[in-house]
Amino acid sequence: MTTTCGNGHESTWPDWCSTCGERIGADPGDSANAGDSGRVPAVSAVAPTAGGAQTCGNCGVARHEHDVFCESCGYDFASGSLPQGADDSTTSNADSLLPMHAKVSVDPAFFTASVGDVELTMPDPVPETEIVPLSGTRVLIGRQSTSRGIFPEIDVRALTDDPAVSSRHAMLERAADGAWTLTDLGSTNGTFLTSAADEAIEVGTSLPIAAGGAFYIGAWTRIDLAETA
Amino acid sequence: MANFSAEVFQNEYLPAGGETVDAVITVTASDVEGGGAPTQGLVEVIIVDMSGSMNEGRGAKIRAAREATAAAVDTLADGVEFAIIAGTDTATQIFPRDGTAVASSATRRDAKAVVKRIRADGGTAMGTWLRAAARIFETRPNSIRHSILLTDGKNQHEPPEELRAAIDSCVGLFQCDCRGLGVDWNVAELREVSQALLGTVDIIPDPTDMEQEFREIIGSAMKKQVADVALRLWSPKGATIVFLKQVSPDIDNLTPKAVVVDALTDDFPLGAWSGDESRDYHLRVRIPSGNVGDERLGARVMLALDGQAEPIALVRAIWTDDENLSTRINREVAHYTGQAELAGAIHEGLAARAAGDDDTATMKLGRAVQLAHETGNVDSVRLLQKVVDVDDPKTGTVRLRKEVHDADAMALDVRSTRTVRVGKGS
Repeated sequence: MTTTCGNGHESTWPDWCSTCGERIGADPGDSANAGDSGRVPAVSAVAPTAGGAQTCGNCGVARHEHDVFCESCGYDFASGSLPQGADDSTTSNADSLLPMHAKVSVDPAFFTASVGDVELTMPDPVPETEIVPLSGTRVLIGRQSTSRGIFPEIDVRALTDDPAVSSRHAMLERAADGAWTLTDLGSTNGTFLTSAADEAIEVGTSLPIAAGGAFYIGAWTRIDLAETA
Repeated sequence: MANFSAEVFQNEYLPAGGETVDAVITVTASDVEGGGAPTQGLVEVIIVDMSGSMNEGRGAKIRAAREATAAAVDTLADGVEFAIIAGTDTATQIFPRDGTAVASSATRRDAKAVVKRIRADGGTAMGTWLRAAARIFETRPNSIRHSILLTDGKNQHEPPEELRAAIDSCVGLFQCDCRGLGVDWNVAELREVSQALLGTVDIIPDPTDMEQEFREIIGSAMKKQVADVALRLWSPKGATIVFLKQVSPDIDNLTPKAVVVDALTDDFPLGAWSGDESRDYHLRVRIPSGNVGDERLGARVMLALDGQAEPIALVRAIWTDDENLSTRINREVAHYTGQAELAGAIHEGLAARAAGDDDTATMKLGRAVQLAHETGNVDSVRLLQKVVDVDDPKTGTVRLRKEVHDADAMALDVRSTRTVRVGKGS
């Protein structure tokens, strides 16, 4: 028995095309079973499609069947994200939230708690606390690496000269509803929520973080989030 | 009969226009009958170097070789077919006179009596040894076919192309675990043999360790239950398999070993498996890019055995414009990428050290220390410390040691491809 895939190939397999690998028999809403693998489902944010009355999961405006993006707010139905650099004025939910900034500082207490037998010395004099406004939907925290083409928005090399921070250490992200999350991108030395440095946050898991929240990376870097009044 | 299963670790999300899919595939064989005895017969050929150099150290090497071979014979279970070849500039089958003997108390006794009388004399031509073993294995296509090759020297008595041709003629005929005794053999030479013949390679620095090593090799060969297992990979039209590497228990690039099945499918021979083992493979496949939202199969992984192929895993690709998903790095893929870099850094560092380029050697071996430390590869850290003094493992700050034993540098080289699995160590 053969079936035909969306590209017109005869397939000897019922589930995937045996020529081009295309998923067979999956309508757009059904592709939510991508979450079967236990990873974050890409499309769970797609609005329910029952009864054909489809609306945008972000702003609630009616959506046409074949739309890839919401005509009103630009919300991406496939990935469940807002366009990068989306203007705040177009994202109704984010309107109400004040802009945030990060305060990047050197924390001697964290340094004392975290560093074991490693011969590292804090910069002298201690660099001043720096303010970095959070703009866009994604803010990379790390160390600039020209050779690898990594230019983090929060570059600790320039701010706290911390050698124990990875090039791509962590990411601050603004979700569709305007709330921020923190994700460790698989850093070598981890990201911590307390200065005691007891338990690093799980790599790849996005944790909500609000104004007033703080976290610690590398050997002595502390980052505080605050609303810009 | 062993039962195979697989698990796939990957980030299936690709950015718009993305074509490269990376996945780590863990293949596990489990014993469904619970019996330890092979379900296919085992044929074992022991190849022992009997060149003149084996007389060095007042005969310590030759005595150890006799004892180790006798121990290997003792370890053979009743019913295993075996033969012993003495290697010099030619190959002489010393037991039985031809063909194979079936292990029993009588044949084991006869074999040991012959082994006791062997004398070392002549040169080293490993190609002739392998061809002699091949002639035995050719007559046993339906068995598990395994050999041990022991040498203490370089392949001096035949040109390299002769050895290469002999290796090529043996591929698929039998598996070969190679051991180098002392420090006068060539790591690259034995690695070439063991990689082509799906075996292992290691150093036996001290003749007194040989007996134990032989017992272990034979013991592990006797656990094998199925011969000639292959990983069968289907990938979509227009795709390229960039590489398929075994990455655990050690690194072995299988890409050049591909055997075409049909236009979209290749077989990669994996050799014999026991009913209780697990190996990891890193696959990188480049597939034609899809549109954002598309979901496609990057590879279908099957296990081929006795002409039957059974699907065991799927490698998938989903295109998304959410960078948070597509830039996520899978932990297993990252881990083995690091282990491969570690093996490369050791190899390059040792090559630079041998060439007298101390700066490059210090940099590469420093990077190796850093990677081994980060990934919890304790064995590699220990071996590296015999070649460099480590000031700071986190930054990879090292100094080359002035006094390094040849055996330590060779052990580091030969074991550089051993990996640790995710989660062991740091």
